[in-house]
Amino acid sequence: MHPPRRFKKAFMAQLLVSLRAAGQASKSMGLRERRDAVRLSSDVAMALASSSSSSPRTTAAWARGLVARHAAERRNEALMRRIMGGAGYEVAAAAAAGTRSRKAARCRRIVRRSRRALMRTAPASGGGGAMAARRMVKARMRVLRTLVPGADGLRGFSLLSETLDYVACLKTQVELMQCLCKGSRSSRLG
Amino acid sequence: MDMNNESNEKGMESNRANSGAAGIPVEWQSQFSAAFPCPAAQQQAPMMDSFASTGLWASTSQAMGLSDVSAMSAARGAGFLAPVPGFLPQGLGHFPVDSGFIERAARASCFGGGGGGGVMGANASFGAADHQPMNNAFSGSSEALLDHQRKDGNDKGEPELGRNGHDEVPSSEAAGGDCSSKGTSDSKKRRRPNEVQSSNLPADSANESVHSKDKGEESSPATTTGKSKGKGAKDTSESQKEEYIHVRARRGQATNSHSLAERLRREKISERMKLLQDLVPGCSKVTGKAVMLDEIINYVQSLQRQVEFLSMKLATVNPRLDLNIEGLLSKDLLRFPGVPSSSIGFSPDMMHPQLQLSQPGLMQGGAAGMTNPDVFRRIIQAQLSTKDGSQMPHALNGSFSDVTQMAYPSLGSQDLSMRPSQDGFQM
Repeated sequence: MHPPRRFKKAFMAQLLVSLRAAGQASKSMGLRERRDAVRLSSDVAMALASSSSSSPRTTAAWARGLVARHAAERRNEALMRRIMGGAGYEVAAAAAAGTRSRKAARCRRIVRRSRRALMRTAPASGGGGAMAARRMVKARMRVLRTLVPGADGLRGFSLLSETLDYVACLKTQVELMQCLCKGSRSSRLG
Repeated sequence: MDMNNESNEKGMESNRANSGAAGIPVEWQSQFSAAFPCPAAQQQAPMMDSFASTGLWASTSQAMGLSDVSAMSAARGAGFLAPVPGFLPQGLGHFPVDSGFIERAARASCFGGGGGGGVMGANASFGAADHQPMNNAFSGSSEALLDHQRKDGNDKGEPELGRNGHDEVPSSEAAGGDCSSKGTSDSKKRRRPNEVQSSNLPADSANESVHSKDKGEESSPATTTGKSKGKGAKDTSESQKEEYIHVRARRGQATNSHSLAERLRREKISERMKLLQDLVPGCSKVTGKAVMLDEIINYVQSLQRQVEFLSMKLATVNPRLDLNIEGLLSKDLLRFPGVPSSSIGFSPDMMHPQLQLSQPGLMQGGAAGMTNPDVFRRIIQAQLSTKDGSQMPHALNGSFSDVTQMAYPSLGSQDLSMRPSQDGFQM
């Protein structure tokens, strides 16, 4: 349902651009640096493609979070500037700075408050099973929040939406990267 | 979770082993291409039932009179609606106060359904006039509405929860969570080798999930008179309506809008879970939010690990990250089937005047040129020769709107193969 061909193409195009930019930006021979560069460029490509292919004005929260996560590391700055342009990088850096302070505190407060309210409801033995299930669900939502980038302050429904979007894009990313692997390997050998 | 970790490693090893033979990518591709046309069709059928019932229930609550109760019972087909007429008169007196809100809720419920799941085909089945303008254009406002309602429901729900100690009704999780937890880990282990088979599962997933959810509802013990809050699955809404009615008789007005908002929220959440079920392979047999969330978490983790692994592999394959674009293009032809040839005719003409915008030119070339590697190559070379620095100059301004939007009207003809609701779940 989700990944229209347009998104895949946009992603692929952006990915190639990013990878080429990465190749030109740093001549680092280190394997880890190269892998990080590849990872960064593919993530940024994914975020940009999703933001542009889905009707603009609707950026996914995970896209912003993902880019912000990469922008937070200083050593990625040069490459990101190259890929996204200076203006884009400024936006990402601003998002990164804002996210860290605001949302973490708010989320912690929310979690604390909800947990207190939950404890106050005095374990009704009849609903013990339901309570345990609810606790499990909440715990898993918490884990999901740590997994999905930029989904820190989201509650149930929007969290699921972001996860949905993110999963679809991750699948696309994996597929595209596998294709790239296959193509570059065969082109090198053949 | 240990089993899941093991299965992840096993999956990764099999991926490594098979990727040399390109076994997995083919399966992923086939699953990828097969899975996405299918769930769209199968989602509509079960979703239509839930939305029809939602619409009917909400329209009933708009004080349309007891005549709609019969319609509701016809829609639900459940015997417990008998007590409804007895309790409705008490509740109906309070409706005019919240009529505006409930109207919005009713309308928004349909929008939430339409905008969220992309169930455009379900619009035709609705009789009410509210459902007519169910376009994606309304999805933004509907989401705002629904979020507002959801927040109200949450805020008012929590103090009540604290006061009375009644609990929610995730009965499907309690019942289904234990029994189906075993099956999920196995299905997840089998996920990678058997993805082609799992792609056929979405066809049955909708029916199976509905049936199993009904079973879970029957086996669950009757909950207390608690106001049903949040995380119950769709099936539990039927049993919750019983308590909902009791609660409404006892507490009067305070719960009407809440319960409506609650139901809206639950419908949305269950709809999202269904979408996720289709997206995550091996989730078709799983019922209940907890286990499904577990599956989703594992899947996300495995995908992330796969991305990392693939990036490492890409880094090793090209020592200097210099990709041979032509070679890549010849291989990439395998992935983009059936781009109409007419687009290639006009897009090369359109691309040249827009080459100064580096990104749109690339987008168009990427879109249309996949079947014509020469065009794509020309575009890439032209673009990279111009400037490498400002690839997406306006891309991340504000809310990521960028100049490619200007290029995309020309891609309209290529959207023939794409479903109109492809952007159905954007926030």
